[in-house]
Amino acid sequence: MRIAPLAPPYPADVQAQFDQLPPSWQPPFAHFTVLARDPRLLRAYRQGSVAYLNPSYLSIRQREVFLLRVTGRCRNAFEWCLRVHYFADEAGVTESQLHASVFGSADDACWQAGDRVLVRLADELHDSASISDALWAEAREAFSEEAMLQLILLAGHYRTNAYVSAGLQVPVDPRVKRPFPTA
Amino acid sequence: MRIAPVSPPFAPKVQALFDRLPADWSPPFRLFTVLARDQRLLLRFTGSSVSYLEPSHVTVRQREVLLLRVTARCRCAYEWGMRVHYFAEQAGLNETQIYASVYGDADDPSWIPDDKVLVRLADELHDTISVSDALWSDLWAAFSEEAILQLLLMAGYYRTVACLANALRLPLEPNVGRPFPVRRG
Repeated sequence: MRIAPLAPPYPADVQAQFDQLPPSWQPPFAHFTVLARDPRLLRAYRQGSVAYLNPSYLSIRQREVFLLRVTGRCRNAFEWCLRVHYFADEAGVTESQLHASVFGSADDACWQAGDRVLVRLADELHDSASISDALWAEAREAFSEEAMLQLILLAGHYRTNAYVSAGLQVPVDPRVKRPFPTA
Repeated sequence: MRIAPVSPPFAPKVQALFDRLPADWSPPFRLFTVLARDQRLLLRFTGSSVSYLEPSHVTVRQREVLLLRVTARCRCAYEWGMRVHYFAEQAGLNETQIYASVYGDADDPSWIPDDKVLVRLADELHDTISVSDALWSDLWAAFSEEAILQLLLMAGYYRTVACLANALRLPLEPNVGRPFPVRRG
């Protein structure tokens, strides 16, 4: 990594933040330990995720299809691999869908019907930082206005995640067994 | 607008947030009042900004050069124009530099030397979602490690702002909004 993460023992305000993470996320991921160099940065970054709202406007399937595409398009191996490790089974994402999330398109035959609009939303936000009239109309048939807001915030946060991954050259987490796919 | 903002009276936590904003950000921007449809979205969004840390790892000049470029590259006049309105003078940005943030590049003669690395950072993240070794070594020479972390988070956050403003078709805010300059021959 281009900037060294903090190593334990952590300062009290950092440890207090890490104690709020789920047990299965321990020890904390490198994004958290490097941003912990300034606890204000760590706190702000953690605030930025609306992935785990409860209740959420999105199902786990919807969230994961979208975030695999967002992270896949960014070639953000660090976060894509973590999402597969923690959520792919729960979200029912198949091997061919995982590959398509990085190298396929919304028209790939492997997607379920409800997945395609999420892949297209991720693609338009990635390519244009906006959403076209046609896609907005289609998306609103499937999602509430609040769900649209949640999706846009998610795309943005996980793009920020990609800037940390790529900017600092963060390696894939050692607990992840599955590599990022190759074409 | 594609989604209607919330009108006052606001929920208590939303009003409390608006009360903490600078006085000249009132009435609250539609970027905020539309997210207030679910206060969890609004509070997480505003809580994840690292632009106004006190003390900050970057100067106002450095922050504004980066953010004008990030928002301009995203074609987000909504946020770009408000940054010009609120911060360009304090950041010492002249009209030529403001124009270059939209239509120039890092080699534009209007930039002062220290600006160029920030324009390059915004451009590389926008275009490649990565930071090349050459740019990294220039960043490293100019900024602390914590400043680089803050810059990366800001570049991402204002891309999020741009996606919201563009995708929701937010019109320029009255009085404080400013369109992109007209492109010259």
